[in-house]
Amino acid sequence: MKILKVVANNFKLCDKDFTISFVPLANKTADDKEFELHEIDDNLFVYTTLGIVGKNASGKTTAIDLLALVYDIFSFFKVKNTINLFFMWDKIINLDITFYHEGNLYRYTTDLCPDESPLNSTINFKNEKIYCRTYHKTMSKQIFDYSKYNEMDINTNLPDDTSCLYDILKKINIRGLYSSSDDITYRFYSESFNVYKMIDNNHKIVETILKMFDEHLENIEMINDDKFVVYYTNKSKVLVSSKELYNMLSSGTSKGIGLFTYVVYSLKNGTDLLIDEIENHFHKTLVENLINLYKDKSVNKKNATLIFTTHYCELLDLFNRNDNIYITKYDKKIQLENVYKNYNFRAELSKSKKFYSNAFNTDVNYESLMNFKKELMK
Amino acid sequence: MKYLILCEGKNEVCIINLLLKYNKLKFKIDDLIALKPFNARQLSNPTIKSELRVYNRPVEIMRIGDTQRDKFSIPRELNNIVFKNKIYKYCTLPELEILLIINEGLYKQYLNSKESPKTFAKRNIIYNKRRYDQSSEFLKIYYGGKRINMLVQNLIEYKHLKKHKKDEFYLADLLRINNKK
Repeated sequence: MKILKVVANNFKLCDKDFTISFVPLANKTADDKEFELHEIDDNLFVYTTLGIVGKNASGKTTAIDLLALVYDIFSFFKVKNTINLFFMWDKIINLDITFYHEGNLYRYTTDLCPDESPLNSTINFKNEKIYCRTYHKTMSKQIFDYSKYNEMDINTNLPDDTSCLYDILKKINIRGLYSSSDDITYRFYSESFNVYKMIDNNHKIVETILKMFDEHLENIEMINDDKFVVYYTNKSKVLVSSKELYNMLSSGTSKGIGLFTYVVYSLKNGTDLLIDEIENHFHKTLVENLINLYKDKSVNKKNATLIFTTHYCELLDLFNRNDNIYITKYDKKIQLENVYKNYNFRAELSKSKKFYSNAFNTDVNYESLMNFKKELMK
Repeated sequence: MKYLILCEGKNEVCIINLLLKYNKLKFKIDDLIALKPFNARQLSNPTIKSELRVYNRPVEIMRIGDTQRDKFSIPRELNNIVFKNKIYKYCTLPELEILLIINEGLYKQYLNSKESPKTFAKRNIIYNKRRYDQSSEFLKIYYGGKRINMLVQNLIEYKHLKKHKKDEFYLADLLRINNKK
């Protein structure tokens, strides 16, 4: 299963027809096919990486939150994380999602509504529809021509809080992982170790991750959910609790263990990975290397896509294309601009230089900086 | 010093990967930038640039392909990593398929045919009931397993049959048994 396009209405503060597409718009060079695109079916391509940039409070997290919601539905057929979904905006959310699954193209539309009972925090699916057509390589340029799709009969016997996507995808499976910028999630080391137990029980990989972040660490072994042995390169070792481990490790190492566990899971299973603020806590080289892993088909063998937000626009220079870069802007509503569609410049030009020359109108407001400084000068 | 291998096409990548897999080359996968040969002709791709910057020390570049007449440019930001005198061309002229033709003992027949090696191979080479179709999958089956030694022999025989320009090395030069540059 691969998501091709998401169109949302009434999602938090997003503008109408808020669209994120994973299908290339610009021409595809041989180089792009090698690094930037996955061919998921004959002549059907999706991005290996997709970047979302913008200044502070421009809506980057909201954009990735929308994708997290969509992947939640596609993984569990439910909206699991309901917090804040209708907090500021109580309108019904409409989703229109195009996806590819086992040789077919699907269009799924639904409304998301809070349950009417005040005691129940679940989100219900209403007005669900699924349309389908078989994919052929000749139609690669018309995948969003919905006139050729046929409406399917859907299972109406499911509970209100369960999506009828269940009929198509059949079983619960993590199809997208979300790593928020919140540090708290990275304190649950046992979850990371349990993931490695799931993936071939390969603990060697934990060792290699640790060494990327802290040369003094040899390995960490989990005894139980709250007991770990830390081995150092100088041959000493220490038994610690989860809390003590958090205090011992640098914040970069803690985040590294958590995030790279997701990366391992994502690459091994072909699960898409969403990362909010990818540059948090990490050296630029580590972030570049992470992005390159998704562009490397000898590692990314199952077509996983990395979707990330960043303030660090130098990372965009790793992109050979323009259409897999989105820029968020907030002016009454959050808008999402595609660099290829909305800005006219050659893909090989430095994106970071364009960003810093304010080609995308993303400069930090000079007056706001000076006003702050003026206050400090008083 | 590490090597950056730039292959002109997917099939060249496949040949190098086969030789690496069966330990037939004078270097190992650990000696390669990003632990793999790249399917690229130039250094302009951001991923390749980034991999070189991560290593950030001088490298030797091996360009693998057929004619390779295009000018090879070094991006300014890689001036401390890539040096003109450390770039080498390894060729299989006129096309990679010449190796299959040699292996099938059809070299003379090919010369008389006046066809390109690609066309000739497509017309004449069948292995395991599969006709040569220019794909890497075919090459993997054709030269994989014990047949890897045939590839080694074909590379050596090619070097005896063909005369390259002074600056064009042979893939056979990369073999463990024959590592003169």
